[in-house]
Amino acid sequence: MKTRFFNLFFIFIGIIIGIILSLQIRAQPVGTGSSPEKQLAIQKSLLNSFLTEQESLKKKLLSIEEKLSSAKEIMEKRSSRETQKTLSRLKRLTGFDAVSEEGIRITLSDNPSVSRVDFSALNENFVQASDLRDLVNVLFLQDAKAISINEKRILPFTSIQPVFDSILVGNFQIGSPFVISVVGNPDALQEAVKVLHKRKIQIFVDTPQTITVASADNPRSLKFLSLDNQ
Amino acid sequence: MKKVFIITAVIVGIFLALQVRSFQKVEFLLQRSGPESVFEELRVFQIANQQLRTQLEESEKNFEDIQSKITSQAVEAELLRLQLIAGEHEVSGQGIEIIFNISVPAYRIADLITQLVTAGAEAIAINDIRLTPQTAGLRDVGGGLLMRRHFLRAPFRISVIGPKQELKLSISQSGGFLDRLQNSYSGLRITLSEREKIVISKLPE
Repeated sequence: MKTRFFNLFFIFIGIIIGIILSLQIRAQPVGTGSSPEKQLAIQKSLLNSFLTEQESLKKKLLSIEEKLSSAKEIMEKRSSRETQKTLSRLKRLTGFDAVSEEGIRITLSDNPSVSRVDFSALNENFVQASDLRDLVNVLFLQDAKAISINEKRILPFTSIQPVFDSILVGNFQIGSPFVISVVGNPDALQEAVKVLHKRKIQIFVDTPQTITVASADNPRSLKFLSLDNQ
Repeated sequence: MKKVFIITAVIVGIFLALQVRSFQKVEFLLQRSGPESVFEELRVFQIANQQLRTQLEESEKNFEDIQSKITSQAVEAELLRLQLIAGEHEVSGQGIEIIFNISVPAYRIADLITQLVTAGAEAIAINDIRLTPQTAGLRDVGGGLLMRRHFLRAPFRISVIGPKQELKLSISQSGGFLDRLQNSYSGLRITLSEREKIVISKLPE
């Protein structure tokens, strides 16, 4: 009777181990880590061509944006004092002005045990786009007045997305380390960093006397939005 | 013999716990990783470059406009553009409306906003509170959501102004954002509709 019970028990354990093993074998392989060499080469080549194109676009854009900002400045100076005040208030509200006040600077880097060459969206040792999104969200909750990531101003309408082994902030590709400059109450802002404490990435926070966050790029044209009373 | 039983049971228990934990971690990261494949991610990069080209053309045109227009016209155009973004006025336009019958975690809403912005959203409101730098920041609070200082309860109505077809397509593809969300929460009913006119109120005083 006792032997029969033991046999049944071991069969039961065997079945459970069998189920675990078959689940493991049937699990969908993760694409990022198992691409054939040829596919990876195509991906790399596409990424490089997009990167090269972006670099050239960035340079042209920077040059025209500088000209545009100067022209706007001259245009605004010619308008009435009342209009200048309204423009200045609206720019402050919308994030289209530079801010220089107290705040903190957070630097996020991948865990030293990994290299970006082996990037995987499923590896907790890499800084992921979702880490930046979560941090920005909590910084806003802590009343951050202005935020930038690697010098790019972040507004609620700035998308932060993963692209292969790098991250797109707005339409610009940025890479590790990710330096987040935040203007606001330093104590409150440091609380926000706790959102990433369970991650296996490197987090460094410092509090310079003044943090400067640049203005957002000129707003994109609005094709669908209109004032409702018009 | 009893010891063998206990040891075997403990080992199997540890295996099971490790397996479940590992599945949960991977599932969580997969659910949040957004695009379905590396090629989809590369497409996002391609779109970003297209948008930069458009931005470049628009900036060049703006520069020419500013130089050719009389100052008052150029200033008015700039004022209107900032007023449309600032949230001080009621705005409207074509777009989509998404309704969640029950509460979903704040990070899901933040991820949804990213998808919508990428697809061209120009204004977004949750339960009629417009998303601006003054209201950004979402947190889960007692079965609802805190949007900076505004407490929101389910059902959540997310109003989006922008290109309605692109917006709808960006989140409703098979295996896309809404599918993943639906599969993650039992009892969640999602209603998605295109609208010719979405109205978003100005921010409360």
